Amino acid sequence: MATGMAAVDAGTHPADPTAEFFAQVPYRARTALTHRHNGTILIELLENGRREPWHISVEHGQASVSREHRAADCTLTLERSLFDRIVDGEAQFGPYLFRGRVLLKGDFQAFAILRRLLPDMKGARDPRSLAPGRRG
Amino acid sequence: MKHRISVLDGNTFVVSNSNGDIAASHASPEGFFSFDTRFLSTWVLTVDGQGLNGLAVDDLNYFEAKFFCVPGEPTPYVNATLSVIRHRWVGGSFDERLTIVNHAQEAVDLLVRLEVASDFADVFDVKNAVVKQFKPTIIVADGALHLDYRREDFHRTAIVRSTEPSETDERGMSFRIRVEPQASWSTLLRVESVVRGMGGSDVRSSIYAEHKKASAELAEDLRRWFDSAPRLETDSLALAETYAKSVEDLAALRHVGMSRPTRMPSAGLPWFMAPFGRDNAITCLQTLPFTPELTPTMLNAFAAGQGARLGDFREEEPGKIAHETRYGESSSFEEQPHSPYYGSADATPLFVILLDEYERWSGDSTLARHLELEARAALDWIDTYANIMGDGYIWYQRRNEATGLENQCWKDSWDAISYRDGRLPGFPRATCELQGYAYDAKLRGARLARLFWHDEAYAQRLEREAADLKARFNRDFWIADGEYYALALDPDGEPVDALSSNIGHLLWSGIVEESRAAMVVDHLMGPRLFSGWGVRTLAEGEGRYNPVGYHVGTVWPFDNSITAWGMWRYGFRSEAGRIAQAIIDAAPFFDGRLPEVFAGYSRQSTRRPVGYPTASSPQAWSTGAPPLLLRIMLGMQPHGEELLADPALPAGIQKINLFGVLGRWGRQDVSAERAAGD
Repeated sequence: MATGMAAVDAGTHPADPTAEFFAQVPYRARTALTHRHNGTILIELLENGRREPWHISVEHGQASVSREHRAADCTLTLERSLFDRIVDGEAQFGPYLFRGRVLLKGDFQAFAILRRLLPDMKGARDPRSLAPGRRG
Repeated sequence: MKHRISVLDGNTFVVSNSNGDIAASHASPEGFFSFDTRFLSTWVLTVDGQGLNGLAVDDLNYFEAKFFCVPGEPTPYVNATLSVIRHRWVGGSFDERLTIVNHAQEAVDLLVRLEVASDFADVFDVKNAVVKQFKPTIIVADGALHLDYRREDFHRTAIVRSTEPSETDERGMSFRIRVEPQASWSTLLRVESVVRGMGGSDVRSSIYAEHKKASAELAEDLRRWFDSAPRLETDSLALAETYAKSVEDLAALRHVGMSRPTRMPSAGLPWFMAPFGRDNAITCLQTLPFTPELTPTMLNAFAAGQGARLGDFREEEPGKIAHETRYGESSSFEEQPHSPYYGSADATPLFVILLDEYERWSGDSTLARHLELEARAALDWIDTYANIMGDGYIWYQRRNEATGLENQCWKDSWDAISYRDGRLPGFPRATCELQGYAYDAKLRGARLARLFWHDEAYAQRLEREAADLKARFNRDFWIADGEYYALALDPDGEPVDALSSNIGHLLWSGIVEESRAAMVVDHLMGPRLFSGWGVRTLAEGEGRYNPVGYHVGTVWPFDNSITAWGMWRYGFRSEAGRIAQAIIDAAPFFDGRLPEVFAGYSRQSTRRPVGYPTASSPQAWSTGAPPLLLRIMLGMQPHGEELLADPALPAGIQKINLFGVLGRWGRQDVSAERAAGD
């Protein structure tokens, strides 16, 4: 886990950001979620006319990932290339939800769980790094 | 100023002239808007080439209005023989029942023409007076007019239909009609807005259960809403009128959010018909005893949208509550950051404050437990990402230099935070009310931790931190020679020393040392801050004071309601009553609908409060002011399972009876009457 996370956070591009992201989901969930989080999310990635399913199941904060096309509380359909950019910290879901790029169906609360699993945006600064005269 | 008429249902609304026409320029806020896009910018009716003269408008309720018009300019010598009645409502679509009545003894042949166009402006284009670069395509099919706008995969459509046959062309619809003597002709016009997503279907239909409602359903919903709100009896006509208007406008401003099928408030018409963290939190705080159903929806929406990652463009940080969410073109192409935008330093502590206040009123411990993680993340944010200077205060400094907000407190215009002499401080800035909110959030978080999260150690830690914050705040922000709290600290830790209304919020939060409360109240009620119509945002005599400056001298009803709440908290009941009275006195000048803001001129110089030119109305937290002022005058406070009341009425009000105040006690009546000779 540590090596995979480090590669993403250091700003390099993994060869397959999507596969890398899903591999990290169970580990990310340990810090990003708590036992109160429950829900299932199906992500359908479109590429060359194919639909590639990824299914995340969260039970009491424990996440597991499968490649099966299973029913879910929330289904997201989008191009794989866009998902690659999102999980690589280069794009966000928000701007794409109200145009023809991401289809979101079902429970928004489950979608909110997925948002918690995403890495920081590339190049994002901690606001505390802006203050030269930090006193603490 | 041109008189505009609005009908609205959440973030779908129509703003027109008083004859019902829409003739918008790129910079004027008329039109049919939905989801931050203008779907109609032209909607102009003529009869035989003559424009309409609006005689009267009947605002039936918030989603519905009737315009009574005659063709042509009126003259004293010729009686109009035709009436044109435009009855319109919104409920998902925009519908207009057009009726033409012939009062003459002879039949008439008429050419009725409706000009229709749309510029599909984003609400930010209108606000910033930007002319759009992309043009819609127009298709006439089966008598309907399809206005279609595309920019890459951003796709919006307006479809205009009539139940009566029309000659439809690309610029509108014509009806050649004959109306018999003493008879009428009528058609129903319907404009559908389509927010197209992937595959062309409406994005809204895949997410929420209810985005379209018939007017009958809306009327039933409004009746239930009125029945559910506490009923007011008072001798003050101004209070009765503004309270009734508030209850109705709170219904009008509700919209269906992304996260739940239930409804939460938008911030204000026309510019702020969207979820706003700060405005919505304060509106819920103001209205908990009156319309409590808004609050759990809002709390869940805050939690679902809580920041989870670091990002500069949207100024997102883990634990931070979102500031503003938009669905239009400028957000979709990241020309604006509202997808959502997190540039607000107060929404996060206000979220914790609201969660606690909600539990105190409702007894809903389930939600208090359910949102533990989010509330803890919000409390952590105060000590981490907000603690920019490492000294334990909430600071803000934008990372989005192009489109982010410079000031991330409620006074968010660029010139709002200044020294006495008018200079502007550098960044980061720590405004005083943010520290008050942090103090209050810690104490309320401690209560939640102790009672619902079963974490006594955390509760004690939060209480220690709050006590420490209060002590430091009273040392670092106090301006000894003026005997008030500084508006802010600058990046050197020096006070930004202007005298402002922000000190009223400090009373509400309880961060003011008891021995200093009277000095703060004296400033708020003194001639530099108190105009007679309310407390000004910035004191007269300060370098940047301007009675018509948005945050630098105007009076905001919401700001006054929070200040009055603070005075109540410290026992200054008669001063709180004077503020309540001033705001209630102002309301009739706005037909009971308190606007976002009005001018700060002294009451001695203006016999009416002077309207602010571009104020939003209705504005949620102005709408929330009369309910909160009622709470303060009646001295209502939940205490355990009971509702306590300790009324203190201002001089101008003899009697207030409030029937059916909602809370964990069920419903309870509260009465106050001034004894004869009081």
